[in-house]
Amino acid sequence: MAKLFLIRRNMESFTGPLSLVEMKEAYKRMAFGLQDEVSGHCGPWVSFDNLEQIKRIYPDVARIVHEDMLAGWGVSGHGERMGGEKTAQLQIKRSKGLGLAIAFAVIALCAFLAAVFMASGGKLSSKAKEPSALPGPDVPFVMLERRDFGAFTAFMTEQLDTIVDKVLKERKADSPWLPLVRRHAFMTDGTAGALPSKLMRGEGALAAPTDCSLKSWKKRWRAASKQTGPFVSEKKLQNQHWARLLAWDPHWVKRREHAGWIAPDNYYVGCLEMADRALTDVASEMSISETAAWDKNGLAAVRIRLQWVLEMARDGSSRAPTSVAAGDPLSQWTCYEAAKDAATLVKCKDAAGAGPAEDPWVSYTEDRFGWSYVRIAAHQKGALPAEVADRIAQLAGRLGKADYFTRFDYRAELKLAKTLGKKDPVPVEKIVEKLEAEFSGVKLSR
Amino acid sequence: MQVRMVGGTDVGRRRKNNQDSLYFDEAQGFGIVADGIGGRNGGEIASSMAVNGLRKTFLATESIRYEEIPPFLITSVDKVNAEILDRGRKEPEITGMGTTLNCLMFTGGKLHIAHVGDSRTYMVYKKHIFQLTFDHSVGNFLAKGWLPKTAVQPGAKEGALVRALGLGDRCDVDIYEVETKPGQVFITCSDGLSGMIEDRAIAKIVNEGLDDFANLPQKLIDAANAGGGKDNITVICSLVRG
Repeated sequence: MAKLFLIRRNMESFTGPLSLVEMKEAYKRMAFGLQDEVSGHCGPWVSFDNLEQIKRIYPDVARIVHEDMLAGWGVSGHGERMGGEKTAQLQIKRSKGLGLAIAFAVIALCAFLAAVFMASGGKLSSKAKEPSALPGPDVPFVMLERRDFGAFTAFMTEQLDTIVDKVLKERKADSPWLPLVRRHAFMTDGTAGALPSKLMRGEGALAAPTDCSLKSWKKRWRAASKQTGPFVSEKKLQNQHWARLLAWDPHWVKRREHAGWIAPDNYYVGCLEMADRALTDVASEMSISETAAWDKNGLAAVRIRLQWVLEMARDGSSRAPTSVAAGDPLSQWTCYEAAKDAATLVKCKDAAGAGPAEDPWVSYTEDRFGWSYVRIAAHQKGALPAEVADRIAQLAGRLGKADYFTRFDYRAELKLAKTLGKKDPVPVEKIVEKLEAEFSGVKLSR
Repeated sequence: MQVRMVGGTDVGRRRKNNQDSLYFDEAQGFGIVADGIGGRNGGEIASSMAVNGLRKTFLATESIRYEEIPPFLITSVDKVNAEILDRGRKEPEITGMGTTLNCLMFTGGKLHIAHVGDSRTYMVYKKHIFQLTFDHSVGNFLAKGWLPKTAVQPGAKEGALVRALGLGDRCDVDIYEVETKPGQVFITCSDGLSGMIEDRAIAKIVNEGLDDFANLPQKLIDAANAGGGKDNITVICSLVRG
C-alpha cells in the first residue's frame, strides 16, 4: 500500500490524503505551498519549510521539497544526500560511441553560440543570469527613502523569492527584510510569493483575515454583491470578512502600533487598501445590470463606509460623509467615530432614531456609542466632570473586553473606561499615560 | 455524499461521574463531543450546555449556505461560551466550569469542524490515521511559540488547556474544512480515548471494525478502558459513503 500524506493549509483546511506522486502533482497545481504543513500516518504536522524536521520525519517528502518546492529558490540541495534515504547509485558504463556523440554535440553547440555571438555584433545576451548575491536590506530601504518606487518594485520583484527564502530560513519575526516584503506586497497585490500569510499578517493583527490579497478581496466582494442587502438594509450582523471589515473601528486601528511595518502602518490598513482596490475593480468589471442590482443592495453605503474606515485608519482624516443618512445604518457608526464631542455624538444617536434594545444590531451600535464616548473623554484635559465620569461608568458596565463582531481586543480601552468612571480627581492625561505604559503598543491618546 | 454516524460514551474506570457529553444526528450529518472541566458538577453542566446549545442553534437553522458555515459555527460557539460564563457567574459553586468542544458539520462534499480544547478529530483512510485538530494545550502553544514561556506559571502542566469554552469572554475557535471522500472515517473523541491508546491502535481498531461499524465506538471505548480508563471516554465515528 502506498504511503499517504495529508496536507494542512493555513491551519484551516486539508488536501489529501495524497500519495507522493499525487502530492507532486498537487504542488504543481499550487494546491499548497512551502508554508503549509504535512503529516504522515501517526506522524506530527511539520511545515514544509522546516527542512530539518522534514528530512528526519518524512524523508520521502524531503525529496519533493528539494526537487520541486525549493527548485528555483536559490537553494542547493540536489547534490546533497538526504537523511534516511538509500538511493542506489546507478552505474552507467558509457560506450565509446556515446562518448563521441556527446563530444560532437558539445562542439556543435559551441559553433552555434559563436555564430550567434558574431551575428549580434559581439553582444551576446541571454535570459540566464549569473546568480548574484543578495544585497543588504539597506539597498531597497534607500530606494524607498528616495521615493524611487519604480526601482524598489523592480528590485523586490526580482529578488522576492530569494528574500522570502531568507526570511523563512531566519525564522525570526523581526527579520529586517519583512517590512520590505510587506511594503512591496501592499504596493502590488497583497501577496509576497511563498511568504506564509500568517507571517505576513504578524501577531498584531489577529482580528484581520489571514489572506488580505487583492485576489481574495475580489472574491469576497463578488460574493458580497448578493449579500450586502441584509447587512445594510435589514441591519443584520453578518459574519463574513467584508462585513466585519466595514465594522472595524478606525480609531482602534490607529491607536495600535505595529512593529515590522513601513507602509502601510500595519496589516489592518494594508487589508483595507486591498479591500478598497478590489471593490473598485469588482464594481467596474460588473455589467450594468449587476451594478444596478448591487446598488439596490447598499453598494453606495458600503463604499462610503469603506472609504471612511480606510482613510481614518491610514491618515487620521477622511473626506467621506459623516452625517447619519437615511437607509444607511453604517453611517451611524461613521457619525459616532467622527464625533469630536459628546454633544455631536448624542446628535448622531438621535438622528438615527431608537430601535428595540434586544436587537443585536441596536445593542452592538450602542456599544459603539460607548467606545466613542470613552474616546472623546480620553482627549479631555484635567479631571472629568462628575456627570461625564458617571456616564462612562454606566457605559463601561455594558462594554466587553473584546468587540464580539470584529474581534478587536478592547482590554486597554475598557480599563480606561473603568478608570475614568471612578470619578478620581486625576487628570485624564495622567490616566492615559499610565495605561499606555501598561498596555505596550496601545496609544490611547491618539 | 452520505455519512454513517455512530457514537458512545463511558464513565471510564476511575471517575465517578461522566463529564463528557455528545450528540449526533446521522441524517443531518451533525455531531458534537464536549469534555467538561471544573469541580463538582461544573464540567458536566458545561459540556451539556455546549452540546445542547449548539444542537438547538443547529436545529433552529432552516438552511445554511456553504459560505455561512464558518461564521455560523463561530457565532454559535461564542453564544454558548457567553451562556456558560453567565451561568458560572450566577452560580458560585460552578464558577470556573468549562468544556472542550469538537463539532462536526457534513455538507455536500465537505466537513467543517469547530474545535476548542483538546478533544480531537482524526481522519482514518486506507489504514492511515491523521490527527486533524490541534490540541489547545500549554505544551503545544509553547512549542509553536504562540505562548511566551514567561506567561506560563511555574509547575503548569503541558497538557493544561489554553483554550476552552468558559475560560474567558473571548473564545477563539478553530474552524477546519476537510474535503471528504468515500471511505474516510472521522473519529471524534474526548481525551479519555486519545490519552489512553495510541493513534496507531485507534487506526487498527477502526480498520478492523469497519464491517461492524455500529459497534465501533464500543470497541474503542473498551480499548481505552483496557488501557487504564483514567478519564471519561466519548467517541463519535463518522463514515463517509459514496
